Amino acid sequence: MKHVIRLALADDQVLFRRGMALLLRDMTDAHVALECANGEELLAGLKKEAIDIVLLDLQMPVMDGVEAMRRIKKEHPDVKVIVLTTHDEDKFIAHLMELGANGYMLKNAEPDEIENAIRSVAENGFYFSDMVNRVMLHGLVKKQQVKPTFNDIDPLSERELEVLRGICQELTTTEIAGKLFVSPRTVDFHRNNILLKTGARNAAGLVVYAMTKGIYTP
Amino acid sequence: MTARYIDLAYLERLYKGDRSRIRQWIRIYLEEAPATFKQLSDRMEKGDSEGLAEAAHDLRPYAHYLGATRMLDLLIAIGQRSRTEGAASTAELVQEVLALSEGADTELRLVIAEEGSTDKPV
Repeated sequence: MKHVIRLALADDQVLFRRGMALLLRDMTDAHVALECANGEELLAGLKKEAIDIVLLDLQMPVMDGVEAMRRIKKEHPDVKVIVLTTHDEDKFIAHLMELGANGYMLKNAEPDEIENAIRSVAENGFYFSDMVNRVMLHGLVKKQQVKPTFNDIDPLSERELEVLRGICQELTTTEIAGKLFVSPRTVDFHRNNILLKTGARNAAGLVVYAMTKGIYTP
Repeated sequence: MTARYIDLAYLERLYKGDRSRIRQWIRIYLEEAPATFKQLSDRMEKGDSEGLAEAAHDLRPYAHYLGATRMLDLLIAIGQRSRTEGAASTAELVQEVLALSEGADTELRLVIAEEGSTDKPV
């Protein structure tokens, strides 16, 4: 049986939260299992409900989305987070991606994009919109601070480079596997090796690495 | 109905033409919007420039969902002006947003009423 993605919505705006729950009813492969008005409610809910992905607003009372993100990554490392906000400023995007967000979207995103993002995060662990790619690339050029972060001792194999390019192109594990004529488990194996070799902590770090090394250009 | 204040094209797209879900959204909007828009006038009267800018920012998705382009422009302007010139400087803009919000409410109630009596698309 196909796994149904269990979602949590955290947003203090009732209209947006319930409107999003209405929207997500269309997804046969996802289900909204938890609705919360702030970060504190969310963290309490995560202790009771098994959640795969949180759609997280940033500006909330009691505990905002930034603090909630820190706590989720510490206390529930398996839970993925897609930030869903009205803030399109580079500083927010860069900061939240650094904290470990698996995706970052604006609230006025098209419904299909939101559904794609949920599926992409469930399958690949991340979703980068053009906006996020732009900010990350801009940050690299501006700060020129990425090189010291990665370990260059063990170079990536040709196969690992192919998997890394697939990740940067936002291909799913299954898609990468199909393209390379290998099994999804093999792709997972290569992905873990890439993480170990590059020292990157997550998919965002892999994309940064690929861009910095000229392995991938968006 | 000829709408002056709203354009439900985005909601139509969002909910893929599902009138039942559009009606549900409108009902939630009608419950929640008055108190949310009131935050604008409350914060302006208190001279809370940052709070007013934040409230205007929070309301932007509402305007976007309603296809209320003038309202969206005003909310952006309120946020900018409140931060640079203070809350009091936005009085006219806030009044215009509140008037547009009332107009939108009226039209949304008509949509619900028409939907209740006919089977026309929203």
